[in-house]
Amino acid sequence: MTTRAPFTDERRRALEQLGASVPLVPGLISRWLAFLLDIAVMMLAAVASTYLIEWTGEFFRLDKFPIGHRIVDVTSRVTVLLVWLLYFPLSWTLTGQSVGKAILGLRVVRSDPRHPSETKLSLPRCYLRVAGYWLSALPFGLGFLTAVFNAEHRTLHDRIAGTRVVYQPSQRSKYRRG
Amino acid sequence: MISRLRRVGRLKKRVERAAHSIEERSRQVTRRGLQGGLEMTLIALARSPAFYRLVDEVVQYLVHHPDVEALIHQQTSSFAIDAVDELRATAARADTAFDRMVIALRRRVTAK
Repeated sequence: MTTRAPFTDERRRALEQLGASVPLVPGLISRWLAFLLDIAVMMLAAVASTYLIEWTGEFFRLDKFPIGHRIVDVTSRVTVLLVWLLYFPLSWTLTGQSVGKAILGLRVVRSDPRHPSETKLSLPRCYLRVAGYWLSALPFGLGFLTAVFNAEHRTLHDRIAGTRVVYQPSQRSKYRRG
Repeated sequence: MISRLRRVGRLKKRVERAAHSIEERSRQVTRRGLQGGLEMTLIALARSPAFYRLVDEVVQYLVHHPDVEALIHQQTSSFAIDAVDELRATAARADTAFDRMVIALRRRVTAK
């Protein structure tokens, strides 16, 4: 059962009072918080995988082999690279949410006026969005700031990938007590 | 008459002092007795295999009891849900404040 997320009610009322044409979409601060959480998750995953590989290397006594250290080192680096390469695209294409976005109740959807019903993101589109992150960040983060001057709060990477961020409808009722 | 009153006063003080002393002593004895009893009980429990069996049984009962499990699960998930809700609500309020600021700024710039 999906309903409107309860925490958005207050925001909707406030935006109505403002009298501006601001649709009910998440603002910059929610998105920034979600991004920070995602970075923390990725760092944790990278650190945990590095430790795991090192322990595995120690367990199998790879340091006894001439290239044992090299194997552990290369594997750790590849794993960290994989975490950074796969985390965002896979989470967006599978659920539309990364961990940070899920915690903040946000979701990335496709924003194509020709196909308004299609919200699911393809993997290439997700990679395009990740590339857009770098482009947004490069000119002193101005790409992120474009969201401020846009009613739908779309950033540069949203425009590049043809996406937008919306509030995830609440699916809480089945977990709630009473 | 006066000397008799003085004698009675002295006697009263002595009786009061004695009563205090008895009270203090009985308190000490009771405390010592209780401590000793408690220590003895704890030592006896620590040496008793039956006590460990009982603790194990109680723990096993609590761990496997569906009601207890459900209660712990409910409390944990409820706490996490509340924390997430609070974070979302705070972020949404911050978004609104930021939007309000931007709109005011825009209106001011347009007015100029």
